[in-house]
Amino acid sequence: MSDGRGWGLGEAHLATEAVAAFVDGELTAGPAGRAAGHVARCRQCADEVNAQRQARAAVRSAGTPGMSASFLEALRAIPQHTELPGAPDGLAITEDGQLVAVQRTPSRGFAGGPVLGTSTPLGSGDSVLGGRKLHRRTIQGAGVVFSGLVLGALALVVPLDDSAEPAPPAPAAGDPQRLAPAHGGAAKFDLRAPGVPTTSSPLVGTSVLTPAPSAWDNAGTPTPAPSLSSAGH
Amino acid sequence: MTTVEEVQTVAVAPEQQWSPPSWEEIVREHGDRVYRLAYRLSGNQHDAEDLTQETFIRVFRSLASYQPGTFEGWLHRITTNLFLDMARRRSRLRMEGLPEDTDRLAGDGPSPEQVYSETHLDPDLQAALDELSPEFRAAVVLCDVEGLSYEEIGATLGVKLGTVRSRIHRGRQALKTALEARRFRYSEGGHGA
Repeated sequence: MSDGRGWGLGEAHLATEAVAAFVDGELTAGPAGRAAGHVARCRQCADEVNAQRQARAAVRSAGTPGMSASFLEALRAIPQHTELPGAPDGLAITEDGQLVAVQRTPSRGFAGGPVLGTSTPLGSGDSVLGGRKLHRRTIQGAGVVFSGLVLGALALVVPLDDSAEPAPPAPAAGDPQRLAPAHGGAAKFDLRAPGVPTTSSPLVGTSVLTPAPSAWDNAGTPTPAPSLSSAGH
Repeated sequence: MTTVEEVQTVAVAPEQQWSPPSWEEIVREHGDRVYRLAYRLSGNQHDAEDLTQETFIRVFRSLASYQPGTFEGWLHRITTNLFLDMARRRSRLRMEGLPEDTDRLAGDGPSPEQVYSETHLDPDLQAALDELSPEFRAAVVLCDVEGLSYEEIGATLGVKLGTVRSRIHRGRQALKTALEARRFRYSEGGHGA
């Protein structure tokens, strides 16, 4: 098809847009074939194509800049220095690098109170947040909630559930199951109990709220529905 | 109530198989790539570190609202847009002659020779990249450093495919011209290589 085209008839040169696309294999089969045919016969377009290839090769063959070790450290430390947004819940990092949710209550409410799922093994208190210099505001009146407990849900829940007000640990959730669906997409990130030594599986003995339907998908397996397992009951 | 119980039995299994990446893992897995992109876009270590750091801070802050999709695509978008914002801000400052952002104005960076000795990058290449307008540079870098498809580049930059094609084409043309000019200058002994 391409070769059949008469080239003595003032055949159009490759459109400028098409040159790069041709070089990068970004043309569909038909146009690519026509372009190849033309380039084979047209010195001017062949030069353009070569220029594109040379520039591309120059960039590709350039060395890769690498981060300094100290800068890498700075990136690792971001969770310790970064204020989380004012969303109902956010994430923080534990000492061992696990992501956990940080609860930020609107000034009252849970302040100082225990948090769901934070009975002693988990409640290494502040050290959970690394004991490092996380901003006060992040920690204050806030609890760290493990095991995928979703805080957005908590916020919605508290006013409804009086029994949860004094908030004794796990059972205090009252009947969290009922509330589970309410959190909607509050926390899309799966929050795992970070190395809870006393609990063989984070799923057992703790209230575990699985992530919202559209949960983190990096590793595939979106969770079908928000749900709560309280195997401990 | 019963429905919840039913759901829960279904939902527990996936969680056991899958665990979310830790921050450490995110940094380890994506840090180099983001830095490389930031470096090629900004052209110097200082800005590359700023861009990379800002990118990861944003990632950290919005992990909770992260929508499924490729993490890499997300990182490319954040980094590139931060770079373009930075470039626009600076060009505005230059035009207005208000160098408030004394942080680093163009030409303020280390010399190509310094860059090379510090990073072993081809100084001519980076200098030639730096001569491109930010938009063209972004298209070329995303294509030739990051290896993105035109479609991915379009999505990253928020432009149409035709725009991607022409930016890459013109960007590479300008890059080649700049490279040749620099090499010619050196071969003339102008800068003594």
